[in-house]
Amino acid sequence: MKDLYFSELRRFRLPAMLAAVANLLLLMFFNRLEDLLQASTLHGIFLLIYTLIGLGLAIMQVGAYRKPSQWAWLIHRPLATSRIFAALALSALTVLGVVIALPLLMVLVGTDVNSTRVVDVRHYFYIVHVLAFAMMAWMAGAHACVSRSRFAIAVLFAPILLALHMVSVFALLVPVGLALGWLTWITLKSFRANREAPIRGTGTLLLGALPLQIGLFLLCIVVMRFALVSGGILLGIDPLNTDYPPRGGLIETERSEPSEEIAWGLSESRDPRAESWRQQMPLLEPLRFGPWLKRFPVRHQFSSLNLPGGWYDKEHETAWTFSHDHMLFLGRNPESGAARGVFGQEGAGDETPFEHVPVVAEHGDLLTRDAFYGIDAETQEVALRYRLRDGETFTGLPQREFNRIMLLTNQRLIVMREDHRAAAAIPPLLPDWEVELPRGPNHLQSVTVAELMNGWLTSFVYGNGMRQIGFSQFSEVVPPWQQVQFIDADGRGTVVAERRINADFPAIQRTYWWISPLLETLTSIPEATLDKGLTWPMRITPLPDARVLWLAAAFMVLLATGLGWWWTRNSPMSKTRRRVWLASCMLLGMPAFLSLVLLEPRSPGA
Amino acid sequence: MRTIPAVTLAILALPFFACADDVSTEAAIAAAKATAEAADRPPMHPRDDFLKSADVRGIELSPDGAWLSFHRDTGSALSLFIRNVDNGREHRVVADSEGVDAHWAGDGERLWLVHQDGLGVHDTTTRTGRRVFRFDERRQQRFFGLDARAVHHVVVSEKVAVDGEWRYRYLGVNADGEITSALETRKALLDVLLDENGMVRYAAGYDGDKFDTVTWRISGEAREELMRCPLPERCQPVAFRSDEGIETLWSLAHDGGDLKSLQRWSASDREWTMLHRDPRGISGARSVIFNSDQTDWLALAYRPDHVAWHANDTREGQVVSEAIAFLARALPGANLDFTIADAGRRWLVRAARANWQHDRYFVFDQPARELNELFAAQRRGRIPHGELAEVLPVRWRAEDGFKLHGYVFLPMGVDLGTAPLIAQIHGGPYANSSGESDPATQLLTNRGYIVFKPNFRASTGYGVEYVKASAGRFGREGVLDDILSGMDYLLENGIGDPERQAVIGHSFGGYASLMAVTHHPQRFAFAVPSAAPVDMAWTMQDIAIEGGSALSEDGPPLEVLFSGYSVPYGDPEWHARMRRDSPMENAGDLEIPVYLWAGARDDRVAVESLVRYVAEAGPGARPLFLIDPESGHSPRQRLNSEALAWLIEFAANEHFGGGLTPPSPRLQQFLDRNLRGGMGDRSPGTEAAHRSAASGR
Repeated sequence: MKDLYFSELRRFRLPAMLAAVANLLLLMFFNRLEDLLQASTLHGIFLLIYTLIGLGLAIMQVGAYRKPSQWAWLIHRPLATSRIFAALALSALTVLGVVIALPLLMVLVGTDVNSTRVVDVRHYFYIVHVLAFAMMAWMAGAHACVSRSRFAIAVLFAPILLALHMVSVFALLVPVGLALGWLTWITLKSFRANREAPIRGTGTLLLGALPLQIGLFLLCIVVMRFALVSGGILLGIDPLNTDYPPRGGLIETERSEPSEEIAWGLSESRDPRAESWRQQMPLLEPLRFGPWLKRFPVRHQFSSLNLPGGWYDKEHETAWTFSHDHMLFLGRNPESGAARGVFGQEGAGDETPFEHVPVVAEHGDLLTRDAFYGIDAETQEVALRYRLRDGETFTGLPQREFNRIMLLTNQRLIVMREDHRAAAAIPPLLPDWEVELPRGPNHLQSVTVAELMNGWLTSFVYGNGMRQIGFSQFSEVVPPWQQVQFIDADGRGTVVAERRINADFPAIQRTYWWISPLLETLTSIPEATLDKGLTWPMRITPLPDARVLWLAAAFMVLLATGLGWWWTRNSPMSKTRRRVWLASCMLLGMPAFLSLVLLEPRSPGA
Repeated sequence: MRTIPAVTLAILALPFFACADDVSTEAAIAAAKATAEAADRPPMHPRDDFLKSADVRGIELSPDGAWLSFHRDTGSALSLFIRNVDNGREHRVVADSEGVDAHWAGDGERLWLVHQDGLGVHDTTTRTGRRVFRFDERRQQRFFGLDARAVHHVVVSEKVAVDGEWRYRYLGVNADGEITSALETRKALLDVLLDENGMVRYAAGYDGDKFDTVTWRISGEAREELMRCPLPERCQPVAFRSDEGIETLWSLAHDGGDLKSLQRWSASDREWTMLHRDPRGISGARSVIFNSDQTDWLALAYRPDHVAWHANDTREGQVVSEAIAFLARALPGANLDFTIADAGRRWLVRAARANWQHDRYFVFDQPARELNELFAAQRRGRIPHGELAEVLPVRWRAEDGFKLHGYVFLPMGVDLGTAPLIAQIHGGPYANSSGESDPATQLLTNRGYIVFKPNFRASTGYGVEYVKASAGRFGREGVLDDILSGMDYLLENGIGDPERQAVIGHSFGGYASLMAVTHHPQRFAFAVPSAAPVDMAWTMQDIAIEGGSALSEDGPPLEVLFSGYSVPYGDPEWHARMRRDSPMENAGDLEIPVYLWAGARDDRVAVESLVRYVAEAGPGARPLFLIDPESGHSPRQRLNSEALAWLIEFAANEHFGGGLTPPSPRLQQFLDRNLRGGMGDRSPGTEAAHRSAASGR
């Protein structure tokens, strides 16, 4: 094994060294342009590149043995198959370690030791996870190279789906470890002399097929989405691609002027004042905003969200960057590089850590999950302006309009005024009025506020369930809906109108649960269980509230099962194995059938 | 500059008003009526002519009499220049002087330039200028003022929060931008007088929970209270002397009296003495002139119906008195204002007459009695003097016997007995109509309408009792009755057609206009309210909550202010009555066409209140509504002013047929975008309005 290990290393030593140097130079280059440790966009790009490097290495390394003669030469070495695999995998790990991890570590340590930039423990763990994902990609590539079909590379998507989450680097160790271990086991099992032979063992089959099925499930979604959208466009019925969106639909509401939205909301109101309000709307300038702060940073987060996590105080020549380790802002002079102390809950020089990782906004606003602070730019002091109730979280940045500050949370809309007569650099906030969210935060799409002479009108629009955060989809099937409330001069809210809104998209386009309900649920588990800082959490709905989806799911199951029966009817596989496959098709639908096609050869006469 | 011989000036049209009290108003009205009717009807001038401002404005004379500073509109920019009075040579000081105020230092050697973000200094000797001080926005620094005595200093105010309380600081800043002194107070100051070193010697500012205005004498850290003036009074120290061991302070103040007068305080007996008040007992003191070394006052002005100067009974005062008399003969009928420089040898005279489109400026060589007009060509205006209406002060008694004042502008060459009568109501309500020319008035009289400007109870300038007499009666009774009684008085004297009356006004004047048509629908043909509260009490409450430019953050809060003016703001019954009587509450019954203007950025009168009013107005009224998206409480730029003027002219033409200048293409575009009528349901009236607007008819 040692010989094989070293010989594999020798194969790639020159390209590895060159790649390592190139990576190091690239990292140093970008680190000069900006603070690489805080540049989340670059983290994603680098992760993608390193993953591709892992995949490429697998294709080059294991793919070189794809020819039958080469494969025979490799697999018939006087070594156990597992040791052959181990040698290849460890050599790949070493190469990737040199190419990816070593330059990252050098840059990180150099930054930590030679500069005052913020370096946290999570940045070190980033290297660990990056290396793990690169190895996952290597595993997937190796698996594809030794599988009957190249499409087996689809196993790569499963671990990414299950393990790539913006959570704490410590919490991420579990899904990453599981995913890497799972892929390693699958790849190990695919290392066999007869690559064309089906996988032995039912248990091995199931565990080995599952990542492939998950990957194929994603592929089915992509294909189905493309087909439905393209078909809709061709037929001229895609609601996003018509000259005018469907009347009475959600897209029309989203694209409307805020004043139109309220006027439409009042269209069926029985309130005697509604007519007057409808007439006033074209002359007013309501403000529309929404729960656009979909997630808060999580402590020790793997990379960073695309939210400002610091600011530059020009007057004091200090750049403040948040440290997850200390839960404080650390300051440095960007010109001289000198450290400038800490910035805690009470301002510069204070060491009281923040309870949650804050988000920095405009106007000197600082927001944690449940507290709204103001920064006095001159004195560098922090004033707590408002604290939410227990369990309440901000879902948007403070909005300033109508001489008010509006705060949207997962429970309420809170409207406050600044007390300008008060002798304070940051005026204290006086409560003006507030309303509870009609249906809570789930699927709230927008809030529109109009100021009237004798009060306010507030319109809440709830969406159709299609929700995406980053690369994660959280789709449900819910009916869009609008509610308009009137808030009187005393701050009392009354519902004055409700309106059903058409969803525009059919249920089968809003969620792809019906392709494989079980796989949809399975892939939702990490989203629902991991703490991703979501301002309103995902909930798993095993059975969506739309009968058409049940019918579609049943159809897909029947189709997959039928096709599976057809594919296996003259197959040489055992009855048990056939039953397992058919059961898999019944449970998992079309992805199971597709995996069957990739993993099980058909009989020549069939 | 052009010299105007005194003889020539005397030939110009004589004013309508009488200087002597013994001529009754009725007689004056009759005489003015006859004169106006006999005059030739002037041609109809385009609306734009009335709005054109003078190309040269903001003219100031340096205290040494050597220089004039002025802003000149070159067409592409507004620039600040200074000119040597003797040789006429001028040079530009600021290329773009929009928003720049210029103030002469007491020795005339420098010109302070106040920008919104800082101070600059222009040295007349070296002809160089530089920025010297930048305002710190966080400390809310602003230019506060300067004193001719402190030639090297100005005062900058700032406001900072210290331990939860506001501290007001008044910083002496020298020409190098250095802060040389600072005075700190707990409440805002209103006026300061400086010594030669730029130190504050006397100050007037707010004090106490009731925001009395107090005059203090400042000596180091010590402050001595000299006079306390409760609202609505205000003490205004104007000059002091401290030579020859005698310390004397002059102030324009009520000191418990009804009318503001010139008061003097002496350190020797620490008593106040009233030196002079309006001999006619009508007006408060308006301005006072001192000699160059500020050892005594020279003359004092009042405005009972026009500006009247009264000189001090001293030798110097007599010289000034004779000079004023000369000027009055040379510029008959003009309201005069003076800056006296060069130890009294050279004066800058500003002369205003209602029938002059723009004020006229002169340099007056006092010993030689030579009067030279400045910038005559640039300030002439587009409309000859003879074609603008003169002003006639009127006095009448309300039903309860209260004596009221106002002004009426009579169109020329029309039968005044059948001419439409339009009341143009001033804002405030604690403000006044001065009887001076304004574009809207002249536009309307040119179209053949009579314009009446009443100074109802609550108007300023006529004493404390006059201001407080309204006692918050802003509903269907009170101020409205004063306006109507004035109109009745004119009608009784053959001025105006009782079948053709209308009301226009801005801000409070707009509110009063709405009240007039709401409660007297049989009387009025239309109203043009601009920036009008539709519920006065609501607007006041809104201002109290929202803040804004209507009420200074440093001054008394609304409840204190109103209490000082005898408005029962704390009385729920007053609020209930105001709401009951308000145009908003009665909007559904509105029958009279109203033409509303509102600024979308108005921080005094919430635009949503007018939007609601328009939405709920009676079906017969279907108001025409112009929301100016760029303006606040008043039109912001020339185009915005033009739009409001168009609205007034259009409304009057629709009902009285006096004529309408078609809108320019740019104005037409503006109207197309922002003029709304009928709230989407186009009634025939508003359709006609839109067709008229579209065709420019």
